[in-house]
Amino acid sequence: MSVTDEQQRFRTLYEAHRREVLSYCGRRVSAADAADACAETFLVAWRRLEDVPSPPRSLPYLYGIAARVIANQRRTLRNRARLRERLSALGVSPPAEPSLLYLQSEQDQRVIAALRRLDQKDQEILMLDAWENLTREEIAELMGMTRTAINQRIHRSHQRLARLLRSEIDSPAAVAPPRAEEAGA
Amino acid sequence: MTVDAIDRLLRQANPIPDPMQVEPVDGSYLFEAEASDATLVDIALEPEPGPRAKRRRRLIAAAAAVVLAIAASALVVASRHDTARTEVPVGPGPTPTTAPSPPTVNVGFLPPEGATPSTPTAGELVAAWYVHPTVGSSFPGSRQVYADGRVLSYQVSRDSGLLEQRLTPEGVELVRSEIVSNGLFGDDVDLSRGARGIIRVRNGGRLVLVRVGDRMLLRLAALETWLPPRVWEDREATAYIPSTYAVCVGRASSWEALPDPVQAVSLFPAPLPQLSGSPRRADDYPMGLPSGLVCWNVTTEQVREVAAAFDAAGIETEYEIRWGLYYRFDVPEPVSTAVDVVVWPVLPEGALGGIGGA
Repeated sequence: MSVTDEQQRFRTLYEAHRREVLSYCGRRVSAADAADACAETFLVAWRRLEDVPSPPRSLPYLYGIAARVIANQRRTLRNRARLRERLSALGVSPPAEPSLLYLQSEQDQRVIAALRRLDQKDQEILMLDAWENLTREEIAELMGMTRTAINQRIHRSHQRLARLLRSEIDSPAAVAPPRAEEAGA
Repeated sequence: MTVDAIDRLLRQANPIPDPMQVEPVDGSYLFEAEASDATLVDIALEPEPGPRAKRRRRLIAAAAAVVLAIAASALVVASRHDTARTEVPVGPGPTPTTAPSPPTVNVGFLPPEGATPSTPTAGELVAAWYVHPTVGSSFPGSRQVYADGRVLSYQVSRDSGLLEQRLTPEGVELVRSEIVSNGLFGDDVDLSRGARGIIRVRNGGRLVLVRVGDRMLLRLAALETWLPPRVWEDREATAYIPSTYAVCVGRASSWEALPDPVQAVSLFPAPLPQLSGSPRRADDYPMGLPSGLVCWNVTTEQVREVAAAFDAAGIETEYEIRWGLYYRFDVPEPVSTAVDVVVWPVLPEGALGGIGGA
């Protein structure tokens, strides 16, 4: 592949998926971090262009890169959070970082808060399904799992989310069981 | 809440529903970098640790183990000198930031064979509250304090089951008076069940509802951080072992009343002689029952028999949960409906473990 071909292919890839990749990142981290993560994702894609599959598999592949970039980024953020804690202990309160969550309705925040309480892998699978609109096959390929396993995980996660949301909405039910309809059976 | 409803809620909660909302930067910077012979930094996403890195990690792990061992020893020494510590004053001041030591016991729903039930079997409730996860406590969940000193806890975020700690009479009174002195009473306060910050407390010889603010809820969630060590008879949490359980039956999903619950039980795929008498109804339980459920109070041994009977009939629990057992199956004609069978522990005041809170 000539340099020109490479550039052309990359431009096509970038133009086709830049918004999806930035949205993917923006759904997981703050706007500022999302821009960085998106740029890093395409940087990696550019460096490894020969490994990037052709459409329609290219977008899930880019999501896979973005997921790892964000994981790296989160490690940095955790370090930053620890620094913030130390500063707070000293009486210094750094301003809160802007987040898309501030723009959301209370109900959406509750849903996302419940989502964040799931296992990391389950969170990612649910977001790929509900937000990135990937097919179950695409999710299975991206996560390195079978489609059956993905289906089961999504079903179980939906049930757990229902239970978590119910326990928040029905606050008087302190030791609340999931309501019967949440079983989804 | 159906699975479809959850899926819909999730899709609605998408922070960026339309990728056209975002505007990425121009990607041509990559080509410019290439054209200028700049070195593009390759990001090591999952670097394979070399031998040196592996050795360094082993050294770090060993050092961490030593530090943990030292820290654990220090904690043991410190806990032995708890009574000599400066006590945190009790009062409505800011909640100390010291993290509570949340119970970490993790037990199955049914106690092990031979486990001694918590005593006394009955107890008078002094206070009960629920700290909603959104209040911001690292210890969300419910707690119930009894006159005999027992504190039963359930943490929302941990499948730890019901846990038991014990306070001295002074400790019980400290908790009660803390709530009474800070709670809001009166007709102008919204005391509807489900409203945030509504808790039950014994005052003037009867249980009343009061409303408290989030700061108070945070304080109640972290009793361990401000109650003086001397008022804890047993601060270490252990599994609460009930002496009675309730086996409840209702129509699947809706939990509406079955026309004839006794007949329905007689048609269950598993024979359950433990449920042969007249069932209890909502009025028989201090906090009532959801919808049309009816229940039979049974002993721990009888619950084991119920679980074994369902097991033998090939009926599995719908959930692997710590707070109860939950079965769903079809009952044949003439009942011809799907039923839910839910098993909850009966708490010392007689309420069901699944129907607590305010």
